[in-house]
Amino acid sequence: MFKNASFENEIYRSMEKNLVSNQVETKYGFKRLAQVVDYLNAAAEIFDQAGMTEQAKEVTEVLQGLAQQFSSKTS
Amino acid sequence: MAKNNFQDELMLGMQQELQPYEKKQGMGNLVKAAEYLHAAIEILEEDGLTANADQILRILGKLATSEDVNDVASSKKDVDFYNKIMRWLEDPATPVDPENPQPNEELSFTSLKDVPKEKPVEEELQFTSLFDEPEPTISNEDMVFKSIANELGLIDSDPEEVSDSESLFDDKFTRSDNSTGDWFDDQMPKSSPGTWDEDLLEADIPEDSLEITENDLDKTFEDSD
Repeated sequence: MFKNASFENEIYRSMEKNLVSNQVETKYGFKRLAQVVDYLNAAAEIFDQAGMTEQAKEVTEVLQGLAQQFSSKTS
Repeated sequence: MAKNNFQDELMLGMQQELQPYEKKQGMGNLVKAAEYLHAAIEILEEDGLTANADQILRILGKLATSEDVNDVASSKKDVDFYNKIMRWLEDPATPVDPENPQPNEELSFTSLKDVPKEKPVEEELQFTSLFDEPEPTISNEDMVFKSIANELGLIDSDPEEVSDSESLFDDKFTRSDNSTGDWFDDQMPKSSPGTWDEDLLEADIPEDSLEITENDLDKTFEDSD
């Protein structure tokens, strides 16, 4: 069914992936940040739909600011 | 009528119809948008990104103060709610409902202490002091009981002399001129004063009376004199 070597490698890779993602999450909080971005994006869409372009622009500016902050942090 | 023109007209008409519908739908979702922004603010504050949180808060504030919100409100309840928020934004310290104040709200009261007092009614109460009254004088008729005893002859001499207990004591226990100074000596017969003890010593007592014989043993106390 499975080759032993490939099976071990698969477990090894998945574990490594989990560990790295956990480390990144604890260090930068990307999941929470992603949640914030999702919320802001949804709000901006609603404002846009309602014709409140000014508010939508401001929300997108906040999103831009967040992106700049985290790109400078990670680099 | 050209086919292209007809198509364009139809398209423009449909667009005009759709745009307000979308707008209305979007305005209906404004509450949802506000909730999203609020959730985003909470997360950003927890992560210490206060600058971004303040930015979003400002957007929320503008949203609350914008007139469009009143247009979106579908019911009177929503209008009241937004009006309450508007009032709260103007002065967050004042209570929303003065008759039902909530914690952290401020209520102001005017002090009754500063209310000007009415002038007091000018009334006077007069009292007369009991200390200034003259003392009642005692007439001679009140002292009659003193003289009645003398008039009835109940007291021979002056009552003051009779009632003197000290003088009575002295009369009873005053020593005579023959007193030896000893009370027992004074009680003894005065025939031979100061010699009764000497008489006793010199008295002749027969020796027989002091001896006890065998006959005397039979005698009882009843037999003796």
